[in-house]
Amino acid sequence: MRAPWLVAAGCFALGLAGGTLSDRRDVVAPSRRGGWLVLEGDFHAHTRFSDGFLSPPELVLHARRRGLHVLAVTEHNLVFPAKIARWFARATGALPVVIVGEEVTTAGYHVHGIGLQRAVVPTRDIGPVIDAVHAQGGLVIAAHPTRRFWPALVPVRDRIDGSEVMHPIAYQASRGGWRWEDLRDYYVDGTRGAHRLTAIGASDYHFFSPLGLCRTLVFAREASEASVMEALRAGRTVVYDRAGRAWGDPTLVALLEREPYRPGPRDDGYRARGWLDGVLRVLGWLGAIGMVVLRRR
Amino acid sequence: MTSDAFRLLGAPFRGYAELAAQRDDRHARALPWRLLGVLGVVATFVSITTAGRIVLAHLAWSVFAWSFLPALQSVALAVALRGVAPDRSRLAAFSLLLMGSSPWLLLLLAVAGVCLLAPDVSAALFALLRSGALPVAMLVALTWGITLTVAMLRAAIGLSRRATARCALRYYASLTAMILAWYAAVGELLPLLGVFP
Repeated sequence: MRAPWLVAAGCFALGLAGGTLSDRRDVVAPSRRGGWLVLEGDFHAHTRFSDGFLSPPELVLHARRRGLHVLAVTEHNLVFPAKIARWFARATGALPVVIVGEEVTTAGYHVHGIGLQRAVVPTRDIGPVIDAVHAQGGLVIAAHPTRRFWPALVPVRDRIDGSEVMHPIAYQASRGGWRWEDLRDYYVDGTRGAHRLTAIGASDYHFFSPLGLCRTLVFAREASEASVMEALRAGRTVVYDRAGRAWGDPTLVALLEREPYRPGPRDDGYRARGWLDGVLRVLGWLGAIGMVVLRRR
Repeated sequence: MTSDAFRLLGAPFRGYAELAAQRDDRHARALPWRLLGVLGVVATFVSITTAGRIVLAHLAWSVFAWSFLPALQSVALAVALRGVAPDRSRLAAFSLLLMGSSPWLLLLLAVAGVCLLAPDVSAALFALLRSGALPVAMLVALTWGITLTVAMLRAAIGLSRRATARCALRYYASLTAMILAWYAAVGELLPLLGVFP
């Protein structure tokens, strides 16, 4: 072994040891408001089985790192990655509660089926998809209902159970016709009549850190899959938009005005925890570069 | 002092010709290390961009979860070399192919470095994307990677120009076909194209 390569490998090992020890994945226990358990949830996340980076177990670990109590894994037209995530979450701790979901993805619409047992087959007409999700006892949530999806989503709004009112596009300039205002308008129009549309905040997570960037506060009886589904079905959610305006059940919005909710810590991991962590993680990165660039033998 | 893989970046054809002078069994023996090296960098990238540091859990899961990539590459290479260069070891050929991954590995590590060093990671990544720097870097990595594959087939396997072109086309076509076949098989591709069962 050549000495420079060994030094690089040593740096990498130090970075690995330091990174593993300083990585925190303890979810803060949910607090109570008005007799309800307030769970922080993200209802839109992908894995590397489609266009994400993380394997299902890593997604669960990252949800813990980001302080999420509930995570719906909603792979494009698939449910087995969500089932792997649920198995891993149950095997390794109480939280997050993983909900098996699917982002039914077509050219004309994207909707989530959550609380599913098996995959729902996408069809050109959205009607059979809604029927199939409801037949399994699941809920249908409009995923990022921007204007381009309205021709499919607006006519069936009364059959849809929830809608993403907060999504990372709120943090971006309008791009390719994707505007956050469309999500807001779809939700507002949907709540004008007698129909109840559950407000959902979701991060549409694919890669890097921002899982849980947009969250749903779920007011549940307990931290369980059944309880979360019951809360969503009853519309007991609150979502804060970028400006801090609350959307969702008016009673719960008023409750949070009286008893403000402080979200748990959101560690995006990109800030060093002290100088030692800062040095070790850069050392690990430089070590990885060295191991590629330097001769081993 | 620099690795063979790194020196290939500067002189793909000459570098691969020098490597071809070594015995096939030496390259075949180096295969597990080279495989681990590629997967290790991918896992390091996933870990740093997700957790902001190198974490054992991400490293272990990502090495396992992304192992499908070299597996697909090995199948594509076997398809590409079918009927040509029967005297060359397929394991050695795959080992040599992996040495051409450096452009992608360096790009992944550069993006990971942005996550560690930029004061505002999100703003820095968006700036790189919007300015076109990241797409251009990806294009460079792609072009460089293809050049290295061609150099491997021509200089290390010793194919003629025509056979090199044919094998390179077969390799990339097989790789693309397998990836598209996966997305089609799990029902993700056709609905996006407006094709329904």
